[in-house]
Amino acid sequence: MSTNSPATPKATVGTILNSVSQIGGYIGLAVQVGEVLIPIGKALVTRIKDATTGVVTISYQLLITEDQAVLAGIDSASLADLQALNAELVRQGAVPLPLPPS
Amino acid sequence: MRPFRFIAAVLLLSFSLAGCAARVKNVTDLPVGVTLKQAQDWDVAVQNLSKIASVTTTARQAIIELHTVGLLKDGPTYVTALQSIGKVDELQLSASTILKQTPNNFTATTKQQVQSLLTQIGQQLVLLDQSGVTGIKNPNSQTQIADLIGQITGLIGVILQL
Repeated sequence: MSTNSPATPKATVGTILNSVSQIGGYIGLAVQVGEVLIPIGKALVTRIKDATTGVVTISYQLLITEDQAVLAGIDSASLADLQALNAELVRQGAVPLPLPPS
Repeated sequence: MRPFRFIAAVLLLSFSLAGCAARVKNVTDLPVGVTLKQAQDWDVAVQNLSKIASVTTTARQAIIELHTVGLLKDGPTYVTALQSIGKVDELQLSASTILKQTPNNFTATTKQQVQSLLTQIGQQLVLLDQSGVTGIKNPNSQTQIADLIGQITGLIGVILQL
C-alpha cells in the first residue's frame, strides 16, 4: 500500500521572487476564482523579505526613499523633544536651548 | 551598586543589539560608484539613529514625568538632566542632517562625522546618568532611566562599529 507523495517543488516562492527582484522585473497579481485566474495588475518588485532568513532585499531607490522618511521622523521627534524640554527649562528659570532654524 | 547595574544593562543591550545590526538589507540596483557596503552602512546608521531618537523621547518623557510626580526635585540636577537630553536631541538633528545629505556619499569621512556626533551623544548620556539618574529618589525609576540610557548607549555602539 503505497501513497503518492507530492512532488518536490523545484523552486520556492521566495527564490522566484528574489530572481524577479534581481532583474528589476514585474510580477503579475491575480486572484483565482474557481478555475479562472483574473489578472488585477502588476507591480515592480522593489522590496522582498525572505521569510526564512528575515533578510530584506530592497532596491536602492526605495531604500533612499524609506530612509529619508525615517530621517524626517527623527527631525520631528527631536524638535518636539526640544520644545518640551525648553518649556521645562523656562519653568526652572534656566536658559532654553537654541532651536535649529526651520 | 548602581554603576554596576548600569554597566550590566549596557552590556546586555550591546549584545542583543549586535544581533540586530547583523540583519542588514540586501540592496539591488545600486548606482555607479555606490558600493553595497556603503548603502548598508548608511541604512544601519539611519535605522539606529531612529531608534536612538525614539528612546531619547521616552527618556525625555520619563524625566519630565518623574519631576511632575515629585520624584525628581526642582533645581540644578533636574536642569542638567533636561539640558543633557536637549543636547542629545540637537546632536540627533545634526547627525540626521549629515545622513540626509549623503545617501550617495557615505564615505569614511562622512561616517566619521556621524560617529563623532554619536560619541558626543554618549558623553551627554554620562552627564545624564551622573545628574538626572542620581537625583531620582525612587530606585525603580532610577533603574528605568538607567535602562533607557543603556539602550541608547548600545545603539550608539552599533553605529560606531560600522
